[in-house]
This record gives sequence, C-alpha cells and structure tokens, in this order.
Amino acid sequence: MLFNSFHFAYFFLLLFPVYWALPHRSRNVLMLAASYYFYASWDPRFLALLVISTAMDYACGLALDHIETTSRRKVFVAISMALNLGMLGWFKYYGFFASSLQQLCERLGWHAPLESFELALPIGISFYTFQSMSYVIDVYRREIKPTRNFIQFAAFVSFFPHLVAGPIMRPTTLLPQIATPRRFNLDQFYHGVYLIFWGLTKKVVIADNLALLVNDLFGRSATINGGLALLAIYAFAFQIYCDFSGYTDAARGVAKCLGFELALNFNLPYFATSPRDFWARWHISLSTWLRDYLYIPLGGSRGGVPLMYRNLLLTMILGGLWHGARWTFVLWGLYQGIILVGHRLLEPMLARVRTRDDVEAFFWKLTRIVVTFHLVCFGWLLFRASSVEQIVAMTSAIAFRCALPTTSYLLPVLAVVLPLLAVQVLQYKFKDLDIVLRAPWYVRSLFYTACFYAFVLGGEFGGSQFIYFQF
Amino acid sequence: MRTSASTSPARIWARLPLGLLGMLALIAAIEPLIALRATSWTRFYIYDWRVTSRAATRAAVDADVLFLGDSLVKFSLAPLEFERRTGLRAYNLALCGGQATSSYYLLRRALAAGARPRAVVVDFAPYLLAEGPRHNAREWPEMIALGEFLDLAWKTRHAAFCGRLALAALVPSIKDRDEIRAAVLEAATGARAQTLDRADELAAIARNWVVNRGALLCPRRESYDGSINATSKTYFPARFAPDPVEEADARRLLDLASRHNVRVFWLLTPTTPRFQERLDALGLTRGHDDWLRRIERDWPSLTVIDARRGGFAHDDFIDPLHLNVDGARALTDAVADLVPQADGDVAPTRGWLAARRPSGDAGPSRLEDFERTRLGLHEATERRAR
Repeated sequence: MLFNSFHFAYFFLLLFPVYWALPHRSRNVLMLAASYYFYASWDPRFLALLVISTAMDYACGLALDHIETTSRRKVFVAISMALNLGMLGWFKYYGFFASSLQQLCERLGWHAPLESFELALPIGISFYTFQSMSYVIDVYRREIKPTRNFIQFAAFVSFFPHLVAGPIMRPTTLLPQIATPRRFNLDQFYHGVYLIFWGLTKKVVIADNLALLVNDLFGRSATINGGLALLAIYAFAFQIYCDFSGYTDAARGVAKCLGFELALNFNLPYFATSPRDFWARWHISLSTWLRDYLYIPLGGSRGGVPLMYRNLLLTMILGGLWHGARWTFVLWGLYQGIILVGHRLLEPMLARVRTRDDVEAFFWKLTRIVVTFHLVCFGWLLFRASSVEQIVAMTSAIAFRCALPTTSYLLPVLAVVLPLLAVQVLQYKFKDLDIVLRAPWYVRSLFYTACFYAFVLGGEFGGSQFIYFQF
Repeated sequence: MRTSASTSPARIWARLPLGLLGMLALIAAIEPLIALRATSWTRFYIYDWRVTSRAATRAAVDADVLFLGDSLVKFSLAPLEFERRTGLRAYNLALCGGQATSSYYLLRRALAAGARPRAVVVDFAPYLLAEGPRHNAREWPEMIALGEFLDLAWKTRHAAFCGRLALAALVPSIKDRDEIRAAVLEAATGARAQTLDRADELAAIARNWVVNRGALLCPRRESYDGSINATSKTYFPARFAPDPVEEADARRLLDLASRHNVRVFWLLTPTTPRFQERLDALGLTRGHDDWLRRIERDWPSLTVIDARRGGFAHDDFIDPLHLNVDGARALTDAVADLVPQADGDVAPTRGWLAARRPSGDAGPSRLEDFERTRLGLHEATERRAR
C-alpha cells in the first residue's frame, strides 16, 4: 500500500475519524490493527516475521528488566540480536554471501555446492529490525524501562507511517508518545496535511519524473556521452532525495495527523558543506542509529586516531551493506567512509581558511557546498550502478566523452529541480524547513496551487515504489 | 454577551487554514477555464462520449430507431441512409470504445428523457466485452452522472478506479491531464501545428456527427490493403471470455428494452475477410456465438443480425474493423432490410438473420463523409476570410 495510492487514501480516510473517536487504549489497539493490515497488504506471509520479532524483543526486554547478572543479561541481548540479525541475514544477505562465496571458491578452483534460494525480501525488514533491536539494547543499557504493555510495544515496532521506510524511531522518543494519551491538535493536523502534500509532490512530481530519465540513461550507460552521464548522476541525486525525503515527509505528516511526532530525517542534505555535515543532514535517523549502536560500541573516537578511522570505515561499510546485498553498496559505504576520513584529515587545513568579508565567506561556503555535492554525487553513481562495469563506463564517459546534454534531456530535469531548489534556498537562508507554513496565507495559497497543478499535470503516476522500500 | 478569548473572531480567523482555503478558491477559479478550453486538447474518441451522452437526452429523443454500441456501429450505420431506406428516423448513439455498460446507460437516459424508439440496433464487440468498464477509465468522466457512478462503483468494486473516476468527474484538469500534458509537450517541442490540426479535425468530426445524426462516416482509404496484426492479444486472445459486468449490463439492456417494448437487434458487424478468418481459426467466433446463443435462449424476442460473412471486402474498410462510407452505406441498407419498416412489419423478425451486402450499384451516395465535412468547413472559413 503506497502512500501515493488510492488504497492508502481510503485506508487513511477510514482510519482517521475512527481513531480520534476512540478512547486512548482502544486507539492503540486500532493503530496496531491498522499497522498490521498496512503491512499485510504488501505480503501477508511476512506479517508473521514482524509478529515474531515483536514478541521476542518484548520478552527479551522484560527478561532484561528482571535479571541483574551481566552475563545473563548479555544472553538475552544475544538472543534478540541473533533473531533480528538472523532474520535480516537470511532474507536479505544469504543469497548475496552464498553467491559471492561460490564465485570466490570457483576462482580458487574449489567446488562449493551452496544452495541458492529465491527469497523474497520482506518489505521494511531493515527498518523494523533495527528499531526493535535498539529497544532491547536500550533496556540492556538501562537507558529505558521496558514497557509491560504488549499492545504499546507492538504498536511501537509496527507503527505504520514509518514501518516500511523509516525514519527509524528510538524507543525513547516513540514509546512515550504511544503510552501517553493523545489529544487532537488542529495545528499539528494542518502541519501533517502540509507534509503529506509536500512529500507526495516531491515523490510524484520530481522523483518519479526523474526516474524515467535516470533509468533510461543508466540503461544505456555504455553508449551515452559524458554530459548525459553527468546529467544521469545529478538527476539520480535529486531522484533519491525526493523519493526518500518525500516518503519521510508523508510519513511524518500521517503520524502528525494521528498525534505523533516522528524524527526529522532530512535537513537540506545538498546544502552540506562537508561529508560529515552531509551525514548530519541525510537519513539522520540511520546515521544516528549507526553512531549510537555501532560506531560508539566499536570504540568511536576513543583509542586514538587510527582506531577512529577504522571505526568510521567499518561503520560506513556496514551502513552501505544495510542498504542492500550488493557489492556496489559495500563500495558506496567504503567510499563514504573514505571521504569522511579524508575530510577529518583535511579539517585542520580547511579551518585555517580565513575570509575577509561576507562576499568571500559566501563564495567559500558555496565552494564547499558544490564540492561536497559532487563528492556525494560520485557516491550516488556507486549506489545506483548495477555493476562495477557500469561505474567504469559512466566515469570514463564523463572523463573522455565530454559533451553538453541536449535541451530535450536538460529541460525536464531543470523543470523539476529548479523549483525545488528555489524552495530549498529559502529554507536554507532562513534556517526554517517550514518556511512555507509561516509565509502569508496568499503566498501559501499560491504555493499550494502550484504544487496541486504540478501534482495533477506534472505527476508521474506509474505506480513506482519508493526506492528505500527495497532496503 | 461577551466573547471569550478562545472563540473571538480574530482567533478563529487565525486558526483557519487560509492557505488551503485560498488554494481551493484558486482551483475553483481555474478549473472552469480549463473546462472551457477542453476542445483545444481533447481527442475525438473522448469528446465523442460527451457529445453523444448529451445527444441521448436531446437529439435522439424523437428517433424511431436507436443505434448503440461501439465504434463498429458509430462508423458503420448511417441514420440518414436508414431513414431513406425504411422511412424511420434513426439516431446513432454508439460510442468510440463503447461497451455494454455505456450502451445500457445511454438507452436508459434516452428512455428517461422521453424517447420511445421502436427498435434498438446494438453491437457488443467481443474484444470490448472481454474488458471490464475500467477499459474506458478516461472516457467515463465525460458522460457519467452521479447515479451511474454509484451503479458503476457498486458493480466494479474497484477502489482505485472509482476514486480516479470521482476525482476526474469533479476536477477537469485531472480528467484532461494526459491531453493537457501532450499539448504542453507539443508546444514545448515546437509541434504546435499538430495541436492546431487536431482542433480543426475535432471541429470537422463534430460537424460530421451533427450532419450524420451521431454517425461518423470515414472516406475511402485506398492505402489500406486488408492486412491485420495477427499477433494482437486484444483482438485475438486465447479464448473468448466476457467480463461479468459487461455481460450483466448487456442483459440489463435487453431487460430494459423489453420493459419498454423496444425490439432489440443485436448486430454482429463485419470485419475484413482476413480478420474474420483469423477469429474463426482461433475458435473465437465459435466461443462468442455459443455465449450469444445462451443469451438468446434467455431473450427469445432477440434478433441477431449477423453481417460477419455478408460479403464485405477489404476495400469497404479503413482498417480491419471499421467500414468506410461505402461500406457503411451497404451495411446500413442490409440492416434496414431486416428491421421493422415505417409502414408495417418486416419479413423475418426473430432468430439469427444473415445480413448480406446489397449487390449491384447503389447509385451515388448523398452521405457526407468526414473528408467532405472538413473540406466544407475549410471552404466556409476561406469564404468568411474573403
């Protein structure tokens, strides 16, 4: 059930009034039922996995609260990890590791008859397993008290707005919201509707239109010239941003309408002035999750500079692998690690740059934004490419077959990207992501009307899924 | 009486979603303009649904015989020729892509508007019977009324289709989205001339409908050599299987006609010989005929006019399915000979009748085909310019 489908519209229009008409406890039951229905509408077979993961982590949380012995507590954390990572590994990575191992063995001349299974990936598994795991870890660290109410915990794990593509919510922020009675707030509702509208506009108008061009150009990567290769990468940068941030906005909007606040997941990432800044703005819920549950447990910046760089690289490689079972994702993670390490190495030198006036400061900042954007874009090439050969073909086209893309390719990209950038420049300048909401009513009316007609006339309704659903 | 701070008009005003209300007001102002400009970008097969549905309650009300169905009837039965032959006033309410559901609604509308036809000649092309009403998702908003929408929603029980239909019926820009996009694209790529051609073409077609009482008569197309696309899954599926909603509506139409004492003539339209051979070879004709005979058993008063092997050659057609003006005249004559005449009854009245192309020279035709209409309009424009 996609947010941009009639199925979801009916589902939500039916849910919304009933939800607010019910008392608090029944609301949570309804929300859980709605979330399970939402999940089952993708593939009912995988609902069992979600329920198993929920039940096990709920039990582990309760057990951890009762047990005082550290070694026994660790056993329960290990059980939770084994279950969650085991499910994730089996469904998402088994095929990848089995085929990679088989290829390696064949190169070494060994015979390794590994079973290969055609496993369908349960949608959203990477998101809900991380969320569920973080609950058990937080209980283990005694950062939170476990909930005794199964309905509340199950609603936390399966909360439908963010179930299949995040943002990954922490138990410390979402569980108290589920436990506390919610009151309908008109301003929150308006804000929610605005976020749904803006998120779907980004998805349907920008991301899905760019997807047509990106798919075409990446499909012809061996024959296109450098200009088109570059355009394909730029277009993909905006496609993936609008696709994912559009989903997150819609998810946050739906949650707001139901009285919840979900974490901000994107904060103008293409205005980042360094790779480190980029990761503070892009998929924030994942990067903070990786920081808190992987980077810091690995040692973080404790233990000296070389260990810190190792930890950064390992975290980013695993972060890359989280996105999908493919070597190009591993390469992308490694690349992100390298540019983060590289930036840390260059940081003292960059800090020495002094600007004399506002104009210089502006151009220095602009330079850093442009450079960071291009570093990120090269990463997107690794991310989007289906093979290493495609990466080589696109890179060599950019390097050796320079040409300007024709207007028939350029115009559709500019037509959707420039209006987005215009809005984002204002958001960046005034440091206010909700600047539209704070604009005078007639400006908002014009903006909404423009979005409406962009949606109706410019939207691409091919029914394409959100990119991050596959992760 | 004092107003509390929380309910003061200023506070209420401040809490209204003024941006959203402003947007709704702007949309309400823009949409009628889009609706007014619809003929600038619409296609004739879409426009047909709007014009014909209006005609059902106006121009067709005083007709003695109504022609219903799809483009095979729209292009093939000429009311003027029918009237010349039988003395009965006829009107062609067939739609491009029309299905059993749309024919049923049109007949119901005509009867509700006071039409009392003696007979209805209707066709249900097998390939359209196999598709559900969702096949015409784009065309429905051009004609559908609230009651019909609810009926359609109940029958199809398809949430996305009904949602799209409701939005399209309410908001013209959603309805005309694809055509507006194409027009914008044409303008952006410098293909504006095509759009202008289309507007001229639409004017000529609309005029041709008026002249021919709802029929669209096409000129001879010398370039058509009788070839067919034998691999088309639309026309040549593995087996004939009518959509349940379409079958139900075909029966509802027969029932409605029966209740109003309207004789129904189910027309099996001719196709090119090669097309018919292919249908026969695949067993599709037999499958369709077996199904039709089951319907015939339930409606003994039904008359089937079978023109499929009526001697129409490929030069009577503009494509494998649609007749040109000469073919249309011949088929109309053949059908006219089998339906009730103005001055009494007709020869064989029930069962399965074969319609054959009249032999010999029929003499010069007074029927105006679409090309003649276009030339006429062009000359009129030039005269006005002079």
